[in-house]
Amino acid sequence: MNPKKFLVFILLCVLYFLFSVWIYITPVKLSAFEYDRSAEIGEGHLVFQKYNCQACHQLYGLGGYLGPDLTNVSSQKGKSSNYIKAYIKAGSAKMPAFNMSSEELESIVRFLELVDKTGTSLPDNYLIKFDGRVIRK
Amino acid sequence: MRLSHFKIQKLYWNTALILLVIGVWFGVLASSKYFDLDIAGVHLEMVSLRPIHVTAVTMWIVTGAISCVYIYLYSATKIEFSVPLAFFQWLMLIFALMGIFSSYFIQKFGGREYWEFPPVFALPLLGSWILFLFNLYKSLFKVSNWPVYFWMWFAGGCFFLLTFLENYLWIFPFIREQYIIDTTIQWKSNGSLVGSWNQLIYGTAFYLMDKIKGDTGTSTSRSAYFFYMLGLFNLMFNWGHHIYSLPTHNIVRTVGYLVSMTEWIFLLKILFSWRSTIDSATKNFHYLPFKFLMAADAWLLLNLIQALLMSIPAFNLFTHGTHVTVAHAMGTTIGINSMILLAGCSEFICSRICLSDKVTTMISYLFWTIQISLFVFVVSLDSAGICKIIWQYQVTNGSFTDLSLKLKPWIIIFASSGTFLAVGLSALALVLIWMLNSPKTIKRI
Ligand code: HEM
Ligand code: HEM
Repeated sequence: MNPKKFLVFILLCVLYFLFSVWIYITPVKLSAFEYDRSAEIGEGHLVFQKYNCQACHQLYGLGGYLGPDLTNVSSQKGKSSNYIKAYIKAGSAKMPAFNMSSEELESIVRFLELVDKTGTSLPDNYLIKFDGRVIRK
Repeated sequence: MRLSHFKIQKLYWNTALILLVIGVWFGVLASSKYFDLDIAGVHLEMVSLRPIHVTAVTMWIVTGAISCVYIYLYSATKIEFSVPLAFFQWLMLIFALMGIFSSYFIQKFGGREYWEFPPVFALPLLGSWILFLFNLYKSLFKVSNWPVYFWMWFAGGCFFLLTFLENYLWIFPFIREQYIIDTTIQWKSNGSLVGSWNQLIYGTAFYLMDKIKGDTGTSTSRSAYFFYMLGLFNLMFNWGHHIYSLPTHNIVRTVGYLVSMTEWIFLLKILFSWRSTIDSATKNFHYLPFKFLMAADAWLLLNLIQALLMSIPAFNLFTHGTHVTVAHAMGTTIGINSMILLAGCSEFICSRICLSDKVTTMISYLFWTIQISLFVFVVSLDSAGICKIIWQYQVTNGSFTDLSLKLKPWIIIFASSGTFLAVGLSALALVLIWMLNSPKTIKRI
């Protein structure tokens, strides 16, 4: 192993390590919560994982593609928490009906409400800059 | 090399190729869910089909990469790896896979995207990887002057471990309760994990190129090391494009954007060396492993252009969350990763047996079936994505059902070309399995 090349490798690793730790420990400031931190969102996410909703649905455009993106479903017109609960329990032509306990249903609906508060995933909410960057309106 | 080493190499290739066959057919079953079909009476929900498909094909890539390293690490160093360690590694992998697939079948989930199985099965996967690292590093550290592919295997091995662990940080409430940070970390680690297996696979491609050309010039040149370092830099910092729309730290977006633009250098390099690539292609195209390497080169070019555009936030804003992303994900994993692995496997076989004309012709047909159907597959996914982008701008508050109807023609083409692709890939995998296990292959260890 060549020492000079190893040094470059180590240097890159140090940079990577510092950047990673910075990401882990620096809280993100959001307008809806004082900080991006909520025990309920953590709980709800586990239920979302338990039923593998991500196989078909996206949050912030990440997930499967068979169903719609759910980032802002909670604040869409006519999509109350009761609508969402009924939808999950009954399913649809393409979505299976999920047999969840009432606590799990509450938890997942609360999760979707909180995710909605973190931001929005629709392209029309962004401005495009000349250098290719995009800025939230 | 002793017979036991050869048997381990074969065991890994058999496992990888079987995973490929399973993976592609579950992909076909998953695509049928877009039409509410239960093919051949199989009733499995998308919740099970998508993870079975994605896990089987990603494990084809990882296991294929391990197989290549076990073969070419020995050819390059002439140092024998430990057979019991490699076998125990395989047992742990099989144990994990059995647990993972059975939990998908009975709809027991609990993990995150691409790793949807209950997290306990990550433990045998982790154990299996650590054993692999023992074997890999034991040989590598006995050699003093490293060609570039040793560096790539070295870095790919350790970063796979680190990013796999990082992928599970969500199990700590401190991380899980910060949704934005948690999602940032999830896509940071997923991005780097793909970069890590790329290092293992590109290392193999370098080794094969040297071997086929018969000189070591490519893998010891200054430019080879430069591109290795650039690749490593991208593995570490080029993942921001997954989460441009997430309200995370601005610096994450900026770093992601800037670093991804260094990939233009890769594109320029490919374009500049295109002439010589074509020259050597005309000379060696009859040789099966070379054919696959050339296919990987062509797919690299096409995918890189698309990936570069998708890494510009102004473009990503539109393509994110559409089938353009799926086109990119499958275009790269099939076109680049799988082609290099198939080159690695066929070189292992071709260096041992001489293929008959009949087999060569059959493989050539399968090769072109795969390339043509993959092209249609990727174009249909891109078109479905573009269709969604246009729809979003023409229709305000449109329903998801309307959108699905609009995309349907493209999805039909996607599913049909996917079926041809599955036929081509699985038939090729079966031919390779048959040749690997033919008594003639064993005679020439
Ligand atoms: C427990 C996990 C899940 C949750 C919480 C969930 C939630 C929802 C909600 C709230 C809607 C209504 C969206 C709207 O009206 O805008 C919806 C629609 C939909 N979901 Fe799910 N879903 C889950 C799992 C799945 C799975 C696994 C699939 C795929 C098999 C799926 C496929 C669909 C489809 C296709 C629609 C659109 C409606 C249609 O065309 O029938 N969902 N989902
Ligand atoms: C070696 C071959 C293949 C590899 C490596 C591969 C890889 C992948 C990957 C990585 C994903 C996740 C994409 C994402 O999340 O953006 C995916 C999804 C998928 N693949 Fe494949 N794939 C292969 C072959 C196929 C074939 C032959 C089909 C058949 C049509 C297929 C159908 C699908 C479907 C339907 C999805 C889910 C897309 C969705 O969420 O709606 N794949 N594949």
